[in-house]
Amino acid sequence: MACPTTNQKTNACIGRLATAKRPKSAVLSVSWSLTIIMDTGFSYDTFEKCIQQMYAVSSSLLDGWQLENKESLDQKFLMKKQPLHLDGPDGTKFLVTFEYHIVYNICYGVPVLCFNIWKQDGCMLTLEEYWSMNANMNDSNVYDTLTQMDHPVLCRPFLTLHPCKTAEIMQPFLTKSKNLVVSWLSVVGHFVHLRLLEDYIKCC
Amino acid sequence: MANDREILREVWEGKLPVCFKLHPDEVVELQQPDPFYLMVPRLSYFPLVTDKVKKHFLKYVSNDKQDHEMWLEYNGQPMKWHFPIGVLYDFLVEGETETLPWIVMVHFDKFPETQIYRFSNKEMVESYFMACLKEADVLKHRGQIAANMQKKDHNQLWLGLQNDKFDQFWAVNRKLMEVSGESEHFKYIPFRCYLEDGYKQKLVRPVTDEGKRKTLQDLLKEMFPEKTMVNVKIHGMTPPLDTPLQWMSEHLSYPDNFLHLCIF
Amino acid sequence: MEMAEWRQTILFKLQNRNRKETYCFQDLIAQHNKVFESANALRNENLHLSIQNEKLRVEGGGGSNSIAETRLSEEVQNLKQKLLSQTEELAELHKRKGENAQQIIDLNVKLQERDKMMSTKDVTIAESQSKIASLDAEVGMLTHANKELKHLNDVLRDEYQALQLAFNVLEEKLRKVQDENRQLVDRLIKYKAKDADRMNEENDNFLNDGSKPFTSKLSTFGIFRKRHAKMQKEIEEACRDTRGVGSDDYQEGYGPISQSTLPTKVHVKFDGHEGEVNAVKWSPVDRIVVTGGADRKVKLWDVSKGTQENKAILVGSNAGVMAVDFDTSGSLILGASNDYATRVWTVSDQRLRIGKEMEYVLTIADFCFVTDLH
Repeated sequence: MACPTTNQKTNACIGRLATAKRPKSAVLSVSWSLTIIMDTGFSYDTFEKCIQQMYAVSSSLLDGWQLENKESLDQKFLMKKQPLHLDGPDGTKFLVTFEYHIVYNICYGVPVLCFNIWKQDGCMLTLEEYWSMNANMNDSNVYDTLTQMDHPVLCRPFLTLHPCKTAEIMQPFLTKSKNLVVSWLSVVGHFVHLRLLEDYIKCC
Repeated sequence: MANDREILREVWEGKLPVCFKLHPDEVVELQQPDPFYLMVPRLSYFPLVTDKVKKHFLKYVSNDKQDHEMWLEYNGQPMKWHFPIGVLYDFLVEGETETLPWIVMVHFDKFPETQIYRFSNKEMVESYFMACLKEADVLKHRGQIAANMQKKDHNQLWLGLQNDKFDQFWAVNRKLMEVSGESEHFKYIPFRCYLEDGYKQKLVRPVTDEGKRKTLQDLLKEMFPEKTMVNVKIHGMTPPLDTPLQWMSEHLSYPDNFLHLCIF
Repeated sequence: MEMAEWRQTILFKLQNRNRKETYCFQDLIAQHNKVFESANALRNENLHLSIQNEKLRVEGGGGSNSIAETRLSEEVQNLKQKLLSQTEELAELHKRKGENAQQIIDLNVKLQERDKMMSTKDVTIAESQSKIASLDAEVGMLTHANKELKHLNDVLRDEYQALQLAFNVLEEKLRKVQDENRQLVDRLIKYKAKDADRMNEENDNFLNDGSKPFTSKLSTFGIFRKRHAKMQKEIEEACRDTRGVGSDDYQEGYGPISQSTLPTKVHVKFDGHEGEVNAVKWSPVDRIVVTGGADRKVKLWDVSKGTQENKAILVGSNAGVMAVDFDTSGSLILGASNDYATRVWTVSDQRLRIGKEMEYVLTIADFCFVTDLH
């Protein structure tokens, strides 16, 4: 894979070309809520290692994470199916199945968490429906944070937490955590009903 | 800098004649509806141009489907509306020459929610378009230029695209095609290679490590190292393999600033 | 930018593409869309017009001329107004019909009630009538009884009167008779005195021939004794002379009263009654004999043929019949008995006409009919 080398070389390039710049500074845009991409140094290889670790923990705990691979693209990602109870807008609980994917986004150089929710009759839950059921996401910027996007590997529509802020989230962990994926997941996961067991935290 | 106006103009003018037909199974009236012919811009997206189509065909559909989303299908495949029209045409109608007008089937029933995005209004299309712009800019300029844009610039871009206004659109898009100060090229080339089952993206630099400008050929080699013969189609034509990547990205990008390459 | 070959190629290819894809079809599709839209518009207009046409046809108009149309529309307006007023009238009439129907229903109900009342009244009337009828019958019966009673009363009164009269008459007669008797007794006394005087004289004469004071009496006695012995002889002769006196010799009133002969021979003897025979009487008219006996019966005998024939038995008395009599016409029989009652029977049908009781105890020996006794 040319990517990791490219990435490193990119870093070097940038270091050479933009000496005046401060590549690791993060500038937040007020109008667009877009973070300029930072060099997190998070390459695909790192990602792959992290998810391998997670998969190992999951297998020992029987937590349900699967390691998937798309042959033609040779990109690995984690997948987990989990049934959950959600509270409907009128207070009733109903059973849905979440399908979580943790995939590496090349453009932003960060992992993305994308998922789909299936109702018992086989239909998918739409964005609006999920929004009304998720008390965590009271933010009005629905479309900025959670959107329907193509799965980076499967190229199918998935509800995705937009990766633009991920770099910012991962920033504090860069030096401290051994498993950035787990660290990042522990922050964003609970927004979308994904809970991490303690054992994963040990990886960090 | 995208200053080859002639090329830009030719690219922008691209329109396809499309014949929209309502799928016979969904017709409930006694009369079969007339097919709807429309010239659609290659650079636009289907949801932006199909208002009239929907209005025309909705009369012939049963009452309980009146508020269903319309979706399009060609050759049995639902069409992902978030791809530009030109991309869809080049990709789906590959190898078949002289098939114009492009016959597209219109459906209202059984929306294939696993394969295509749901959209209920034009705002979703706009937000998706903007997201693509952002992503492209992240690749090109690490997001700096897009971040500095005002809301009115976004509006202008969107309206220009929607209303087929070349000047209005390029007045703002020009900025996104500029190279940042010191470098003469983008950081990475924003592109997608469309294959049978999806698309591939990679971080590809427009210049080699030595600083030489890369060509299309180089990109293809990087993307598909084992394939020797790849056919590329963009904007309905096959560009020469020695076209520089930087120039390609500046001039042959779609409005979302991506190069959508159909690989056969 | 230099005019690189690739750029030319690209430009050329793009232009080709546009020519092929865009320009060929652009005008065509634009025209098609225009035609399509105008067809749609025309179709809609057509629809509107056909609807209008239908409306107009229904309303009776048909002119395509604008003037005619306005006239028609005026007519239409008028007709519409008329129709409106008609419908209002119709509604009004319906309402009234409804009210009338309601009235009819009410009246029917009342009628039914009245009928019921009438029927109850009829029932009561019928009952009253039947009561009346029964009362009438009772009244009739009572009047009849009353009449009968009156009749009886009258009869009794009349009888009483008659009896009173008879009594008076009888009293008169009695008085007369008593007077006569007295007179006769007086005469008798006179005669006796005369006789005595004569006797005395005779005696005197005798005595004169013989002794004077005692012989006068003795002479009378002697005369008497002679006369008496002569009379006794005569009576014995008469008794021995049982010459029957036939009914032809019987004459009313006048007849041989001074020459009465005693029957010596029995013409017919029969047992008439089971007990004693207390009374017999001849009919003044026919040859019928009525007898009354202790067996409480009054029997009629027909002796016209020489022997008796029991013609009838008149019953009714509760004790022995002591006296019987005919009336002057011979049609009625009066019988008196020991049960304190008198009864009248008709001869012809032998039926009891009247049974009357006397108030006072009377063992009737003999009495007579009074002609106007009823």
